[in-house]
Amino acid sequence: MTINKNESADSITISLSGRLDKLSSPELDKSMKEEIQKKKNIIFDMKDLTYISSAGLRVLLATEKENKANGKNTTIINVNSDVMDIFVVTGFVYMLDIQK
Amino acid sequence: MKRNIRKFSSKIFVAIIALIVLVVCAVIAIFYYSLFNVRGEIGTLFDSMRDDINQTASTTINKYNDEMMEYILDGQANAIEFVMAEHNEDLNYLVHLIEQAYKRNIRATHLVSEPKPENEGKLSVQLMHEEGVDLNSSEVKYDIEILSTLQNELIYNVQDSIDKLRCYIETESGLLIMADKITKDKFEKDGSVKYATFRNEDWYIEVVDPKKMYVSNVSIDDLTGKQIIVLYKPYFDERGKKKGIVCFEFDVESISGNSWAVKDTNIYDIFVVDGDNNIVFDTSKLVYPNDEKTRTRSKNFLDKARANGTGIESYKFKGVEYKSYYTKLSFSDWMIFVALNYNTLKESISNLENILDNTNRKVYEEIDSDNRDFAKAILIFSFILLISAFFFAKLLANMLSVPLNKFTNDISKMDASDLKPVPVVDSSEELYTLSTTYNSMIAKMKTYVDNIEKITEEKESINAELKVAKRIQQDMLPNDFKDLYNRKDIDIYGMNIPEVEIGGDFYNYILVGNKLILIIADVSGSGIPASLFMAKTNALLNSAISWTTSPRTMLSYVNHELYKSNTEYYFVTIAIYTIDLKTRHVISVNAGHEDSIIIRKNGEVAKLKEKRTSPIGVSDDLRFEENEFDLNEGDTLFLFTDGVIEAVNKNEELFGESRLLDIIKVNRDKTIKELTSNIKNEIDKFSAGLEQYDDITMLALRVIDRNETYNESLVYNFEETFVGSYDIIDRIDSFLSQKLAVAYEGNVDKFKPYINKFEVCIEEIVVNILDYGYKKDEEKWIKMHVTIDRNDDKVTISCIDGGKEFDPTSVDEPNILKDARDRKLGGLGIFITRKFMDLMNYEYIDGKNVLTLVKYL
Repeated sequence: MTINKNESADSITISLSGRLDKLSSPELDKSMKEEIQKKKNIIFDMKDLTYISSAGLRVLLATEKENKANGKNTTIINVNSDVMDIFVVTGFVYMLDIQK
Repeated sequence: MKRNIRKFSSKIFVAIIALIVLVVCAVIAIFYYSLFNVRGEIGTLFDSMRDDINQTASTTINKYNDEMMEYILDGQANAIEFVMAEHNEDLNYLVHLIEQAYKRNIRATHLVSEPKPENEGKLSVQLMHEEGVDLNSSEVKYDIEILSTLQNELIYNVQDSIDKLRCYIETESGLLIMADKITKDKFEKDGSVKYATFRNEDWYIEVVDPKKMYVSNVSIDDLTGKQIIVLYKPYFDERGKKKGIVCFEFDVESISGNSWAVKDTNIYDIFVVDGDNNIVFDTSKLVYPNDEKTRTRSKNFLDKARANGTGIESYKFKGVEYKSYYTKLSFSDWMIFVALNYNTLKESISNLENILDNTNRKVYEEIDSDNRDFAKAILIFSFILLISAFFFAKLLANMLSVPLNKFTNDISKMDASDLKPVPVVDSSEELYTLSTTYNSMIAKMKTYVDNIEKITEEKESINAELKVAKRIQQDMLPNDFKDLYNRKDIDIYGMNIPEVEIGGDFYNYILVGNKLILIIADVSGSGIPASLFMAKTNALLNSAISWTTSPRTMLSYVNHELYKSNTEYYFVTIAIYTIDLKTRHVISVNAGHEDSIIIRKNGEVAKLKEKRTSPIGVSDDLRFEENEFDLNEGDTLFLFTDGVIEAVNKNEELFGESRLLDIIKVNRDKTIKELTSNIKNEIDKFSAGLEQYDDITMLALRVIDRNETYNESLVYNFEETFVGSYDIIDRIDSFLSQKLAVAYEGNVDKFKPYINKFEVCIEEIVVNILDYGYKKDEEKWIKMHVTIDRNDDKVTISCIDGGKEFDPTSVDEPNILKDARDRKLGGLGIFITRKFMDLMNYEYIDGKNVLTLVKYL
């Protein structure tokens, strides 16, 4: 999995590609803990993300929770259908701001 | 076609103009009518006045009739005679005084004396005498001394009278004692007093009657030249010898004065003549021509009158018609005449008529002139009125139409989705009412719309709730049959189509050990109440099944429980079949339900001849008769509710049992899913155009004849053991993909959509085993057994590990709707797996955890 960051004045766009699984999610988790300190709105661009498991969901959820505690929004964009299946079946679709 | 809309204001404008023109015309017409009417009436009035005048004239002429004229004549005569009578009294008094003086020998000391020229103009009593009278004779002196006592009386008579010119006494002795103003005429040129002459005059001599007042004819006074008359009386001594006379001398005018005064008109004239036919006075002041003819005429007239004494005589003089009324005056030979002048009378009437005609003509001229002026005025007025009416109408039309236009504009702007009141029009009463009415209508409409929206919302909410209820009800039905999919011995399919969103039918099947319990039931009625009763029945059945598989026992229990609290007297027809899958022996109870149909492998289709019991729920005293029969491989048991055979068509014919049996016969070789679907299609065709009448529920069970259908060569088994850490996940993924490709002979499309789900599930399970199953330093292995059964497109994955015993299926499902902050994320992986796979089963066998996942592709 690769993580690309694109920072602007009030937001950080995290572009994920590949698989966000048990192996790769600690890297994202670590990375996001740093980003959250910046107290900016976070956008996950999942255009190239092909896979996500519960480990990845936890990172997203933790990010969203902590960011929200800072009063910042977390948004997920460009989700493909496989990943969306996971969001739907787990109910994350109701908890995260996922934009089509 | 565009409709030509005429402006409301233009209509009002035209209407007002028309109205005003009409009014003006009417006013002009009425004025002219009135004017001509007035003209006519004035003419009539004048005619009437003329008639009145003629009437009055004739009345007036008649008024001066004989009687009237005689009355006037009498009046005038009386007036003259009254004056004369008074003078007679005065003369009598003087006579009385003189006779008393002689009788009593009363003598005056201050004697009357002759007038002196230097006393000219002075009123006094003077002594005069005839020529030859000896003033010093005793007889004369005696007369002077006696008569001098009357000096004051004589003066008084003249002084106090407006008509007496003189007052005097003449004596037989030749004395003249006179009271008057002294004038030159009394004296001769030499200053001596003129002599009087009377004792030899006829008029003196003939005065002898003491009772009579003598009246002289009119004569011209020598002294003054005036027309005078003299009244006189004699006085006597005691022996009755005439001693002298007493005289009053008058101006004639004093006699006629009363007549002048009385005569206030020139319609008649009064004249008096004396005994010698001399005119005493004549109010006509006519000058009679002094010719023979006139004198003769006059003399004849007067003589005739004098002969008649009293009478009437008509005559013409100088073209004037007269009618004379006359009578004799009592005190002398005088006659009085009242001459009525007809010409004057007629002239005055004709004058009046002329005046009337003139007035009439002037009035007409005035009226005609006024009419012409009025006509001009009316024309100008009408013109001005029309001009102002034009502007007024325009103004009024605008006044009326501006608020109306505004109102119309406001209304046309109105949007159905945004009902707002329009501004209230305040300029016109009706428009005000209209706009307020409109607003109240809008308000009502808004309320109505709100209500409808509310009702719609409520209905939508109810619909939504009904959908939820339907889902809950459908959830009660085992609609996916996946619990039985891994069985190769039976095939099962059910269908429930409620009449409304939710219904009173239900079916169920439950596998208890090797016993399959089929239930089909129909709660009386439909809709929510029926569905609730159904839910209750279903719950009671589930409860019963937990401790019995006997249909009779189940129903006894359920019936009792339902009966205890069935205040609405719902009842349930129900059939329960308990099938021993090993022996295929069936025990059933049919409580008032439709007979089920059995389709034998050889094609025979028949109703099950079951012993039947009453429906449950309404009586606690029921005995449930059990039926028993056997199923063989290839046999199909078809259960249904009355909604299937009681479907009606447009001709109100029932779908019916025989039709159902026919359809089943035709479709007996189809899969039970197709069979059921075809029946449903036939029902739909049958009752095309009609709403579904009742819940339709079907449940079919087929005992699979494995020998005929199952192809063992289509079943693939793979097994591999993986040792390591998280890295084995990828390897397992690859293993599965590879084996699927093998089994499906490279037909990747068949399984590719499921790869992601398999990978997620594998990761979740493997991570779970690695994290929780094995101790940290332990060697971690996982054996994967994959069975791919292409008969059913069923993939069965068994994960076997040697870690500690752990049943992942026992982990509670996380509450996915709970807020993330409060959420425990434990069990998320298992939860995902359970959702993605059709079946997840855990067993702990021989010290190993066996977790089996089944997925039908």
